[in-house]
Amino acid sequence: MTKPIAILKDSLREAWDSKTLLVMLVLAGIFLIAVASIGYTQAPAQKVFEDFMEELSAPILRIDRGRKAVPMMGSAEGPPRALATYTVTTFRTVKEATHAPNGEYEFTIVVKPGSAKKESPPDPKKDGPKKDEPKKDEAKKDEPKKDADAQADEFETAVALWHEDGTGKFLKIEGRNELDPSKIKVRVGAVTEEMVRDYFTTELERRTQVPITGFERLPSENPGERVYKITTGPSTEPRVWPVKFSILFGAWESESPLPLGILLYTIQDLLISSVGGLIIILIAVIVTAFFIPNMLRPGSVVMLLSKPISRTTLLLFKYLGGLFFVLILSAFTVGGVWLITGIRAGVWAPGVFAVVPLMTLSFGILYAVSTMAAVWTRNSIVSILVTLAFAGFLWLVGKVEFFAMVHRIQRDAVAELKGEQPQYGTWANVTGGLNRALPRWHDIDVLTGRTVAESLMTIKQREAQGSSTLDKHLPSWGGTIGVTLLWIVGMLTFACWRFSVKDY
Amino acid sequence: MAVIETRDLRKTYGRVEALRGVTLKVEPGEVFGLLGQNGAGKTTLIKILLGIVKFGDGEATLFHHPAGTAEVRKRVGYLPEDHRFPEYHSAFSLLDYYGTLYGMSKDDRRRKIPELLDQVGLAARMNDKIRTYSKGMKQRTGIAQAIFHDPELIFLDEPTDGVDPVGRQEIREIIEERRRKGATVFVNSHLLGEIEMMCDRVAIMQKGELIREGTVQELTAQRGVFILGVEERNAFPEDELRQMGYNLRATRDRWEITLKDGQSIEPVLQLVREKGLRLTHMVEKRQTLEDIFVSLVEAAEPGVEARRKKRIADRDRDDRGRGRDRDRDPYDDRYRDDDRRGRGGDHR
Repeated sequence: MTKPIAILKDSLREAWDSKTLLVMLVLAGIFLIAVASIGYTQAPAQKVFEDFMEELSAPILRIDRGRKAVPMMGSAEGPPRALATYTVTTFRTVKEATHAPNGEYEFTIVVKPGSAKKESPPDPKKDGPKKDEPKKDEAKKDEPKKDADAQADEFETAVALWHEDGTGKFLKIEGRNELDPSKIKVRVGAVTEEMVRDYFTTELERRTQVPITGFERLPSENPGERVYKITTGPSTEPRVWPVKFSILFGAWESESPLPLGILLYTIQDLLISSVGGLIIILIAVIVTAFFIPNMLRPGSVVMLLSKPISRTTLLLFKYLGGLFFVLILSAFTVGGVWLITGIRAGVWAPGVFAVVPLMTLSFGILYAVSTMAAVWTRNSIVSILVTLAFAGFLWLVGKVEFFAMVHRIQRDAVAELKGEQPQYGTWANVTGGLNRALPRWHDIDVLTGRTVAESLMTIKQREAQGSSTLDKHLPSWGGTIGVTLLWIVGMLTFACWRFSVKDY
Repeated sequence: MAVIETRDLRKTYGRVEALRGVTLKVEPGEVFGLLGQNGAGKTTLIKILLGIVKFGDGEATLFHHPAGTAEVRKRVGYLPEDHRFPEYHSAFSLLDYYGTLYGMSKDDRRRKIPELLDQVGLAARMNDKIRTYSKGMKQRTGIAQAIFHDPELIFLDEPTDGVDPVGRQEIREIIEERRRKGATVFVNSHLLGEIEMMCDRVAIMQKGELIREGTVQELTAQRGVFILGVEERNAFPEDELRQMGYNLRATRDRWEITLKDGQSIEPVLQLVREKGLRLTHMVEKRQTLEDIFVSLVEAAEPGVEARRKKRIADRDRDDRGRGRDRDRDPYDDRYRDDDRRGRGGDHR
């Protein structure tokens, strides 16, 4: 085993000597300083509850107890409309605490069925709901009288949808081609106060991990409105409490707080898995593209081939040397981010280390292409160009597959509500097939994101982001790693064969 | 038991026949030289023996095992022509790396590297990066890596290329030392003088074929040609010897006598003594390897010798034009080389 290790060490020596590894580590260090400059401040409780209510007012269909959340599909004439709007009217701290999440609070909310935006001034771009409203009324006018009497309001519809598990127990859907709230009918008397409490309790807990200790409906002064008084207990999970974040050691601070777990996930997903990872991989493609052509230069290759080591071993371990380069870089970066996040935010999430092997696997696909091109042409520039072209192709397929996934999620949600089999567009099926057959670069990215999310966010937070829907459409680990490894093995086999039969 | 054995070895690159049925044997402990023009197939032959190039037909074995296997390569050291070391290494780290590939233990490597680099004159710079080395130093590094693991067979392709005369002497000594330790050395070189000095046996390769093979003595001997010199050049009995049937040719201050079949040099010496002339010089003329090489190449590729003679004549004409006295036989240099080396045949 000493010979292969010697080849690995030689690759690292080459990277170290050319200063590329050093430069990359320095750049990673600067990046870590930037990450360390991000500060987190817990948001005040009132702001948290107000934001929660605003978020609840978003035009999103939440079904299956909120586990499935998809953007609501509006009518053909305008943008989506909210089912109901929620506003915090009074707020009181029942029990003060050093950390806001540990306090106890009481507040009242007013629920208005329909979109609050219909009261906003006219705006051709943003004012869809207002334009839609008369049409909705017209639609109501067109309905038979007895149906109009039996129609629940939008809030009841929202609560009923939330409880709907696809069985049609609470819902009766008339529209077949779109899910317009005006065409969703809720059976009269189906929505009880118990269901409303369950709705608020679960959603609030999901967003803030704050338990509801008191829930009471108060009389309303305005007809059609509902008023509730809610009392909350201390939070059990600090990752869920929204925080404001600042960058460059407080030079700039965000206005809207975000739940800590989601914020950390967003930062790490953006900086490590997406942008940072992509930058590391692309730079590594360029740097490592010189390893094998350098080895294959006339005068160098004969020196190595005269040594008692097989060509296959030589090439494979040169390949692994390139992977090792990325492994070191990603381990340094991810380890640093993990440490900094732990110290700065108090969240120690070991799951982010999964990024290291996954990023290395992503690079492994590209480096196998680079190795194959290098053996064929012995030219670093050609290797880089071929590899980047292949990476671009995989990226393109991945992007289209992302849209195809969104398309499939929406079609599934609609089909589930309607109790039908989902129908997907041909383009989505073709992209899906192509994505499954090719090295799973995009899927590795998706799975990396999910792993980071699982590590940084609570289950309920992920549920709030529609994890149960997304997870159903996630690629499998076995398929992703299996197909990718098959491609890598195939390309390396091809490269090894060429290297073994070629005269130097 | 031959260390290297090839039988009817053939190799083609597309339409080009690089080797055309090479049959060769190198015995243990020999220093074997392979001569040939550029593109004759010398390097291809070595690369085939090391498995770097695959051969077409024929057989090739090292130590009676198929050539080119990893197991065989363990017993072989190789210095390629125009080699290029990874320049991120120092001589020390390079030998450490290659030693690991040869399966040497760490202790063995750490002990032997300084010794060997001292032997090739690189001890003072062994931790400097190879990129800072001169061509000669790189060549010494190449020699060091070829012999580092004490191989039984060493292939050296142009070992003295780029090395100064002192370095060449040292390399010759290293080769001699390895031979004494029982190693077999296979040398490719354009420097025919080097080959002549180092090698026991020599083969000449032309266009993928071995056209001559033998010991240096066998190849360079030129029977029946003597060079004589007397104190009083003008008193030399030229006419009498011609009358006796001897074929004479005057050089600047000596005489070249070519014996015909059945003739002996003794009557010439007798006549010189009878004339009371004092013999100052007498050697049996030997050809250099270069002579042999050029004549063989000429035979295989007519025109080479004519071009060479024309170049020499042009040079002499230029010299005369510049007023320099070079009134001498164009081949005179070679006689003087022959005298200086004085290898065999000196009857003075």
